[in-house]
Amino acid sequence: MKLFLPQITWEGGFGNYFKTSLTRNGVDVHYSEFKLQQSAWIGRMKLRHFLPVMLRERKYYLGKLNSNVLRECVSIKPDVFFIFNESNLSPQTIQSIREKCKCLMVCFIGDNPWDSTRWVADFPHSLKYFDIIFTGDPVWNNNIRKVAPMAKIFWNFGGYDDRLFTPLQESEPSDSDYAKYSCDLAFTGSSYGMKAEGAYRADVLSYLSDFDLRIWGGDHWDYRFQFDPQLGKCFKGEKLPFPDLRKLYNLAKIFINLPAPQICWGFQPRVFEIAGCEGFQIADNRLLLRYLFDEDELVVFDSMGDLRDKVNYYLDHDSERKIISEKLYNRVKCNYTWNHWAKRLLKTIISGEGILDLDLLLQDGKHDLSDTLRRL
Amino acid sequence: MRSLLFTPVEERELSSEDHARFDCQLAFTGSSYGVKAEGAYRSDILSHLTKYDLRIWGGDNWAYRYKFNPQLKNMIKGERLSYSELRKLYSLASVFVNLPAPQITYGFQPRVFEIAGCKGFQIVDTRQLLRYLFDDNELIVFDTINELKDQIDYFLYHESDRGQIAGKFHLKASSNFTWIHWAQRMITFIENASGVENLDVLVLTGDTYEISESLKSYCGL
Repeated sequence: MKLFLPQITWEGGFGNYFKTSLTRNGVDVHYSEFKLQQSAWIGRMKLRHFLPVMLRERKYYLGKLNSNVLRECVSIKPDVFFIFNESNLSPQTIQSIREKCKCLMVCFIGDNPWDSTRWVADFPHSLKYFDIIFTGDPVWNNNIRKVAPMAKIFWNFGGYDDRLFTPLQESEPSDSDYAKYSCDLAFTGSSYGMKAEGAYRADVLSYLSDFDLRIWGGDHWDYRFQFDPQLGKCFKGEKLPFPDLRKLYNLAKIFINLPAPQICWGFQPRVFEIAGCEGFQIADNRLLLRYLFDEDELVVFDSMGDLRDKVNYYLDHDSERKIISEKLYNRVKCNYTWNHWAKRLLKTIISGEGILDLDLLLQDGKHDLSDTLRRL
Repeated sequence: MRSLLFTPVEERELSSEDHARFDCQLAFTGSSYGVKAEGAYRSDILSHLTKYDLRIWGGDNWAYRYKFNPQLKNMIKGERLSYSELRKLYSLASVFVNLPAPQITYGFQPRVFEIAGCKGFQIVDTRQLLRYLFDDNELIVFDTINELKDQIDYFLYHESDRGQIAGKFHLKASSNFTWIHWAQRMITFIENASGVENLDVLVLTGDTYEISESLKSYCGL
């Protein structure tokens, strides 16, 4: 199977994960990379932060990228065209690819398609050109079904890189690693600049500032200090690279895992990454986590009182933390790597097997979904 | 619903100009949300209905959508309507297509009551809580585009069914869902802390019939 995958610019590394895991499963993946040199002149004149200049430059970049992807895809003639989220492609480009390549059109949506602030190329208008849409959160399905009436909508969650996120050997961390990452509670993640999602994370974390809590993350955590000044002392620095994240997941007693609040029922691959390092996490509860994992393998919280009680309990019970994280580690290693993800994805693309219209199943309440979802 | 503003229109209130402007098979009013994602939702759905006599009013640059849905161009009739014009539109359009913003997952917007207050007939983009509160014979909802088209085809040619449904829902809205009723519920809640708490948890884990009954009782239905 020949699959065309336009580049994924998201810093979580999905492009590489998708490409590698699909290739390992026998797919001939054409990963389209596009790098446009930014104008040195605009940089020298320090004009880039002026909105009209920024918008013009973005328009130029998007135009070049779209024509490049279209040209490359048409020349390759793939069996499957596969994108993650918008991938900076316009509805016109997606439509042209559909018409010219006549291939199976597949989209994997990891973020709310109706989020006002997320897209730069009118993504929702593209949905109608896809045959298969995988959604990370089935809460979006009800509306996607209406704008993409021909598409089949399946649930799909990500995976984790089992070569990158592994338990740490005792000999690996240095003294400075211990000093930096050994703590009671840790959190890493974006503060989302001035966007609403950042308020969610900061407000939840502000209830934990009396613990030894350490926060790393990009996108202006300092903006939140005016609302939650107590977080100032917890903030330790910008986004950590993957090797440091691995150390943090291992060395922090409890990792507080907060998905973005736009995700209502689903969850993010970080659940698997922490588990892959055999780290202990308390995750912000999402409906589908409870369907997939038992209470003795993943601890979740529903309220701030619940979170604080669990933090207090597990800080005092080292051996229970260890048992739970070991159990989840074994589970994710056997089921939730990117390699497993690719196998599941291909099974759906090739034979149509998968969880179709999960939102309807969840809402009618007549099915024992736990077994079905775990079998997946 | 503003109980005095959104009421059925008497024939004597309407001019021939009103009839020419608002008498149509399908109508929609609402924002296009500028370049935001929510606007794409509305325009993509409405683009499936252009074979009908569809008329659209609304603000925030509907023209931006023409490049994606050029077929809508002839349907856009102007900017946002005033309340008094809306009232006439709700009364005169055979079917009002009611599309809440797609970011609203379970709930719905007060427009449902405003149309009902005018005894207008609407087909609403389904939201779970609408189904808990209202029966099939008082409010028509759609889940898919095909279903929407089937319902439009049916109701355009069954005027008495439209009238019956709109009449029934008008009665319900005017007896239970004006802003006065809203204020009464709010005051009761503040005074007695009686209300529907943690509805999200109930919706996802509870018994459908029980939820429906408790919501209806909360709304005095």
